[in-house]
Formats: sequence, structure tokens, C-alpha cells
Amino acid sequence: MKKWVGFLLMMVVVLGLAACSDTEAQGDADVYKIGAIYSKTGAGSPLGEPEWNATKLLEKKINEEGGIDGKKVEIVLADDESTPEKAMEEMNRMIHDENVVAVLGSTTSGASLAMKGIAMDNEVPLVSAGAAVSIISPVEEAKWVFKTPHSDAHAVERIYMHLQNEGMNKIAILADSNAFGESGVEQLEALAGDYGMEIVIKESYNTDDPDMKTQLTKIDSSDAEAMIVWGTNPGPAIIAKNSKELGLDIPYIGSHGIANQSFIDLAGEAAEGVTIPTGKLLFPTQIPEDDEQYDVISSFYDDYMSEYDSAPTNFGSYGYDNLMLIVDALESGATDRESIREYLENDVQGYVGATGIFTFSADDHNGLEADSMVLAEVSAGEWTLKE
Amino acid sequence: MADSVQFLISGLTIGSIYAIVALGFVTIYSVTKVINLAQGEFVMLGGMIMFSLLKLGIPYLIAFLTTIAIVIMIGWLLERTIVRKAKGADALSLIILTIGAAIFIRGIASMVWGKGSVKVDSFASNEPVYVMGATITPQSIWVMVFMLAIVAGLFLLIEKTMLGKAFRACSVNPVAARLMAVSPKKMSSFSFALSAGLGALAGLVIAPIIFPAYDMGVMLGIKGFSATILGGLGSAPGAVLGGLLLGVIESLGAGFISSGMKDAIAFGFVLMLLLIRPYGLLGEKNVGKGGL
Repeated sequence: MKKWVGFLLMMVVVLGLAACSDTEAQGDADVYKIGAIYSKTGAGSPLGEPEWNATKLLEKKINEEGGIDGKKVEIVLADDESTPEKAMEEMNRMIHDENVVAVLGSTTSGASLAMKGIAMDNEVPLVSAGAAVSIISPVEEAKWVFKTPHSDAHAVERIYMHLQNEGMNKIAILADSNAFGESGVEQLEALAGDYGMEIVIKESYNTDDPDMKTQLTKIDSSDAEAMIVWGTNPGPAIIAKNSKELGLDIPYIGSHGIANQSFIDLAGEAAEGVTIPTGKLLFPTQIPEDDEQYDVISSFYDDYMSEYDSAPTNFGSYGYDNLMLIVDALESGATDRESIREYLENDVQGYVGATGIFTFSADDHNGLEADSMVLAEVSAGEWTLKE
Repeated sequence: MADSVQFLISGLTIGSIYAIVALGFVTIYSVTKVINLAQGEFVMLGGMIMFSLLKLGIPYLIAFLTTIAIVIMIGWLLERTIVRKAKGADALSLIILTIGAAIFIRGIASMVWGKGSVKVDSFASNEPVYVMGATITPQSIWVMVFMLAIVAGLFLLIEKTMLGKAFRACSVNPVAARLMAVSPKKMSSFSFALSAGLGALAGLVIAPIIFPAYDMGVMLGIKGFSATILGGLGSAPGAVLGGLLLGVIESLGAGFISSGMKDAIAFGFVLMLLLIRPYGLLGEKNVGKGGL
């Protein structure tokens, strides 16, 4: 008898809970709730902070302009402290407690990959700001996941396109031995054939190495016509300095990993002439007016500058695009989780964002082409748009 | 040919960085038998404090001397607050304490200076010098000059002064030293202050070559410690020899074999050498005897 009472009680609780979540899933009638998890603190904070700020800025702006079809947008912002564990915790809270229609984030690839599984299990659309291709590929395992930043493959393609234009096809690679460098090398090798590039020499270094002259001497003795350096600070700055000391005269092409002022500050004069592929937000004021993205970038840049008094950087543009893609879906009447996913996959065609022009499809949840990246060259101590 | 010379010179550049860090390990070890694994952090503090002082607009030379003074203070404090309090602990426990101190210092540094790298100007000109078709930067020459000066200074201090005799006495037999009115406690603080100063000096000369960051002490600590072991614990000339050898092998390994394998080659060599000579290149067979 006791057993049965216990069982009945349990059933009541379970049913009650189910009923609760049922009614909650309908959501509050007056607002659209969107979750956003970015790394406001921790190691990823230089990246996460502009994303966080851009999201807050847009929330304010959208609601001041009357919201979406008269409904306000409520963004539940959470900081994952740059750790996958915290990101998973927040992701679960967003889905089960906050009942959001979609989740944005996170900043880093590691956290995004951790959130991906939860998004897939709960069938919630996730738009990530992480760089790794594995966030959205293979596409069968990423049905609910999209991402807006360029992937390594885009950067590699953009470099190869540039080299083709310059008539160069013999390249040297000097890459960091960490995950970022290895991923770059993988893409450089995989795409070399498509662009008729020949990798004549491949060298590596450790992130903390104090001197890279040995590797550079080997590259100098090879018949490479250009050197591609794949890493993040401070390695590439040391390489620039060492190349100058050795009097190396082949062009130095970097990765998007050094698309920041700190590279130029570190390398000083040796940075002059270094060329990299980058998103357009590295120099929002240099984008020509006939660029398709000109309006989006300049209005975002002006708003951001007047609110925070600092540049949004490329990361700000990821925060911008992540949110605006969901807003675009909501405006088109896709207001629940399933239809938002459907809309992103099928109806985002030639959408002009701050990072690039997005065309998602069932096979491509990144939606960008390599030519939405531009080339930047250091000139007079500043990144400048290279024609 | 020119390539080989460049490999060798790059190796000496890197090696002299390892060697100058290694000298700090030797100083503490030879008095207290403690291997101070926070030595790399002293080097980091040297570079980072210099950066901050220069940013405040303090003239180079004054900033240079102030940095050394500040780091000496920190080294002295470390001995006073951590090592001294662990009365009677054996050397192994003290070594583990220094690991804790290293993590603590690194944590504070990442809060003070952030996680990015910084840039410190070089002593004088930046124009490279050419030797037999190879390039060497003036700052690398400075590193070697300082390294030799430190070895010479340590030799004079230990062999020719009363203080040095007291140093050695504590190392050989602390009890007997105390009976002769030499305070092992004082000598222990002094050795920590001295090696913190040497660490700061190392940080100051290598800061313009590498771009210092809060975590640079980890790599330098490991390489410097390896150099110390290779040269023979407790031997200053050994530390220099070990450092240079480690740098040259790394560079030649990267140059002639593979840059991805350079650390494996260098440490493989260290392991092999230690199998043949377990007490290091210039180490005495009886490591307990001490002396620099």
C-alpha cells in the first residue's frame, strides 16, 4: 500500500512538472527571450567583451525602436568565465529555466563545442562566435548549430587568392606548434592543391620560444617566394623582428590571429609590410562607401563608439551578427525554436551582416565566402586596407 | 656554411638566455640545498617591473636599478615568509613550497599586467652585427656579457670574500657553521635575495629579446633548471656550459633535423648525458659537498 502511495505521489509530481514546462514553453506573450553566453571574464575576455557589449547595445537599440512587431526583445546575458563547464551550466539554465527561443555564443571554440551537444539534445538553435570549423561540421551532427566568424579555411583561401594574384606559388610555412597553428597548417596543406600552391618548406616553433632565427635561416635558403606565419602573439612578433634582423626579403603573410594592435606594438618597425587576411571590423573607417556592408558596418561602428568609447573589433561584429540573424528570423515570423532553425538554414540568403554576407544552407552553417575577408597590411604603424 | 654559422649563433643566443636563468638556481642551491622553482618567476618579475617603470617615464638606468632592488625585496620576503616559516622542513618540502610560491606570483602577475605580452626597449642600438655571414643582435651580446660578468662576480664573491666562505660553510655543514658564528638563517635569506637579484638581472637583459608576459617564467624555469642539471647542480660555470649547450643543440637540431623535434632532440641529449654522468658536466661526484 505504502509503495502505491509513493508511486502515485511521484506520478503527480512528474505530471505536474510536465504540465509546468508545457505552459512555460509557450513563453511570455509580451517578449522574445534570447539567451547569450559570452566570455566577459577570463582568458577569452578580450574577445568576449566586445561581443557582450555589442549584444547589450543592440538590445537597447531594438527596444527603443519599438521591438519586433510590437514585442520587446529580452536578452539573458551570461558570462561563461572562458570555461566550457560554466558554459554548459549556463546553457542548461537558458534552455530549461529561462526558456529562450535561441542561444548565442560562446566566445571560444572549446565552450561552443561543449554547448553544441546540449543544443542538439534539446533542439535549441545555437549561433556560436567560436572559430573552429568543428563547431558546425560535419553538418549532420550540427543540425541546430550555426556560426558567424570566419573559419581558418576562409583565411587560408583568402591568402592563396592573394598569392595567385601576385603570381607566387612557392610558399614557406612557419607555424606555432599549438592547436591554432596546427589547424592552420592542416588547412594550408589541404587547400594548397586547389590553388596550385607548392609548400617548399614547413617549419614550426613553440609559443614561448625566444628566437626563431634558425627556422628563418632555413626558409631564407629555400626557394620560397612568400612566408606564411600561423600563430598568435607573441610568436609572430618575434618572427617579424628576427626576419628584419636577418634581412629576410620575402613577403611575410600572417594569419587572422594577429589582427590586433598588440602585434604592431610588439613588433614595432619590423611589422611594416606584414599582410594578413581579416574581417572588415579591423578598420571600420577604411571600408569604401561602395562596399555592400558599408552601411551595416559604419552604423554599428558609430553606435558602438559612442556608447563604449572603444573600437568594436572583429569580435564585436560576431556579437552583432549572432543577434541580428535571430532578430531577422523573429521579424519574419519564425518565433519558435524549430521555425527559427528552419529560417536560418533556408531563408538566410545574401544577408548583409557586419562580418560578411551570409548564405546558410543545409550543407553550410557558416554561410560565408572567403572573399568577405579583406587583406590588411601594416603601414606607418597601423593596419590599413590593402587593395 | 653561412647557414651553419647562423644556426650556431642563434643557438648561443638562446643558450645564453637559459644560462643566465640557470645561474639563479645555482646560487640558492649551493647554500640551502633547495632548488627554487620560483626562479623563473623572478626573471619574469624583472622583465615586467621594468616595463611598468619605463611606462611611468622613469629613465632607463634608474628603472633598471629600481627593478633589481624591488625583485631583491620580493626574494627576501619570499624567504622570510615562506621558506623560513617552514622550520626544519627537509629540502624536498621546501622545493614544493617554492612551486606554490611560483604559482602565487604568476597569479598576481596576471592580475597586475594582464595576459598579453609587452615590449621593453633594448639597451642600446637595435642594428644587428654581422659575423661571418651570420647575424647577431647587440642585445644578445649584452646577454652574454652579463652572463660572464655574473659568473666572474660569483666566483670572486665565493672564493675571495669572507661572505663567500660563510656561504660555503653553511652548505657543507650548517651546524659547524653556527658554532663558528655564521648564521645559516642569514645566509639563507642572503642567498634568496641574491638569486632574486640575479633573476631580475636575467629578466632585464632578455626582456628586449623576448616579449615578456606573466607566464614566461614557466618556460624559462624549465629550460634554466635543465641547464643547471646538465652542467652539474651547484656549479656556476657548469650552469653556463649547460645553458649554452642546451641552446646550441636545440638550434642545430631545428636547423639540420626538424624544428618540430628540437625540444625532443635537446632533452634526449640531456637524458643521455645524465645516464653517462649522473652528476652533470662539471658537477662534483659528491653533490652534497656544495660550493659554487
